[in-house]
Order: sequence, then C-alpha cells, then structure tokens
Amino acid sequence: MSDYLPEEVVLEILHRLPVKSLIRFRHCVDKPYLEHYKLIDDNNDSSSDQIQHIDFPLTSSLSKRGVSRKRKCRDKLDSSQHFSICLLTSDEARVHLLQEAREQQQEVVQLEETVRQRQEAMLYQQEAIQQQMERMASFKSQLEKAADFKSRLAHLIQRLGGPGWRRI
Amino acid sequence: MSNQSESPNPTSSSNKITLKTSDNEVFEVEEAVAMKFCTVKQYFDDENNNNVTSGTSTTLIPLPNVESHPLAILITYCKKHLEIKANNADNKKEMEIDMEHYEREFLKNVMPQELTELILAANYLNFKEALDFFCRAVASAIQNKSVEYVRKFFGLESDFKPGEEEKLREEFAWSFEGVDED
Repeated sequence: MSDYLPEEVVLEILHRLPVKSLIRFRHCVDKPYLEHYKLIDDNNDSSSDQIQHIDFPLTSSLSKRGVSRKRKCRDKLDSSQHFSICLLTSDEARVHLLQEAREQQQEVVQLEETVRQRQEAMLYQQEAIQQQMERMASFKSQLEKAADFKSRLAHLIQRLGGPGWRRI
Repeated sequence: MSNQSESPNPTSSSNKITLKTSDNEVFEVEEAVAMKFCTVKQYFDDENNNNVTSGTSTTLIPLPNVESHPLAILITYCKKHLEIKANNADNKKEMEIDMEHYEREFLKNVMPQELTELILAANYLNFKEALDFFCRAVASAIQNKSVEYVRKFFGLESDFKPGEEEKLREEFAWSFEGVDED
C-alpha cells in the first residue's frame, strides 16, 4: 500500500475534480469513498434536500470568504484555499449540464439561421448581377447592329452619288 | 551523528536546521524553509520548549517517513516558493502569476510516480502549499481519464457486482463522454 496515497490525500484530490469527473469516477472509486464523504449524494428521497453544501477547494486565487468552521477544524490544507460551494446532487448536475447543452444548441440553431439568410442574400445578388450582365450583352449586340447599319448606310450613300448627296 | 553536508552558506546567515531522511541522508536547510514543513516546525518547537536552558538550535530532526529524493525536490520547491513570495511581497497577483509559471515548469520535470512520492512526503511533512499544488496537479491529470485509469492510479479494486456497473454506466453515459486515451 505504500505506493498508494492515504485516504485524506485522495479526498483532497477528489475535491479538486470537476463535477463531471466526480460523477464518472464514483463508479470506479470504492463506493464508500464518495458516499462516505458526501461528495455526491444520490439519496433523493427527501426531495427538499437535494442540494447540499460542501466545501470545495479551488485554486489559491479564491477569497477567504465562505470558509466553513468544520473545514478549518480539519486542518488539512490552507483554509484560504477553500471556499464553500453548492455541489449539486448528480441529478441536479445532470439537469444543469443538459440545460447548458440545450442553450448551446439554440445558439447553434440561431447561427445556422443567420448563415442561411446571408446565403439567400448572396444568391439574390448573384441573380441581379447575372441580369445586368445579360442586359449589357444585349446592349452590346444592339451597338454592333448599329455599327453594321452605319457602314451599310455609308455604302449606300457612296453608291447614290458620294458626299454631294447630302447637300441636295 | 555527523553533519555530512555541513557547508557554510555565504548567502545567508540565518539559522540552519538539519533534517535526516529515512535513507540516512542529511539535509541542512534554512530555518525559513524548514518552518514551512509543519511537522518539522512542531518537532522544533517541542524540542526548544524542552531545552530552554541549553538554547541549542542545531538539533538533528529525524524524518523516518521521508526519503532523500522527494525531500530534495520539496526543499527546492519550498525555496522557490519563498523566493517568489519575497519578490512580490506587495503584489499578490504578480506572485500568483509567477508561482503558476514556476509550477508549470516544475511539473514538466516530474514523473507521475514521483508525484505520488512527493505527495506522500508533503503529506507527512504537512507542507500545505506543496500538498495543495500536488493535489491540483493530480486532479487536472486525471480529470479526463477513464475509470480504469483512475482505479489503477489509486490502486483500487472494483467492488461492484457483475452487471451493476454496466447499469450505472448506462445511466450516467453522459459523464463518460470526452474521456482521453489512457
């Protein structure tokens, strides 16, 4: 056993894990560990008592507020590094995560909608450009026709008697 | 018992405390460093109370549960910790940034097996800052690991009845998403 960590150290490590990892590991770590220390409480029989306060040590940057007396008495790690947090029971945590996921999904849907709108606008612009191109092509052919008429007219004038014709 | 590593330290004139590890190595550390180890501090205080008249502070403090390898690392960490603290005495934020930077560098040079050793030593010595730091390091190392990995890490046996675990895994399938490879 000398290679393995004492229980109080394991507990300190567990205290520093995110809820998701805790819920995953509770099925691997001996059952007594997590349940004994009330890191996660699955007994939802008393429906009013689903949320329980436990002391959750986080990084040292956190303030001293909210340190519970019980924790101080335990004299484990520096009490300034602990801060009281509501750890939700597993069901609540799941609901919370689900809500987050749902919000993110909504965001994604909204983003998709804007993308679709922009795509439509672009298609519309493309059509407009195409129409203008067509119009330009028809102008061009008209211009060509006009040039053709002009040259034929000049030819006729020459045949009818040269530039003097205009003076008549 | 002789002070093998007795060497005058030119940089500091503060009191020295001598620690003796389980593998009979002797470390001489500055009082400020030794006082961070609560177990040593306790021993030292008790000793001083008993020998008020003699006034000798050169007691050799035995550490039967600590080997020299983790102790050397802990002393280095502790010195750096005190140094960073002294350099940024009036700026807590700077201190935290420096400390974080040092800790990140520190972890690059530490093997996982060493970490267990260090935690055991820090736990015995009751060196709170180091213990907190190592626990954080382990937590961040295992938070995305699989159940099997963590079981092995803590040396635990599954005590579920057959089928029981599968049922729980199904029920909490969402917590098994995004798990790293071992």
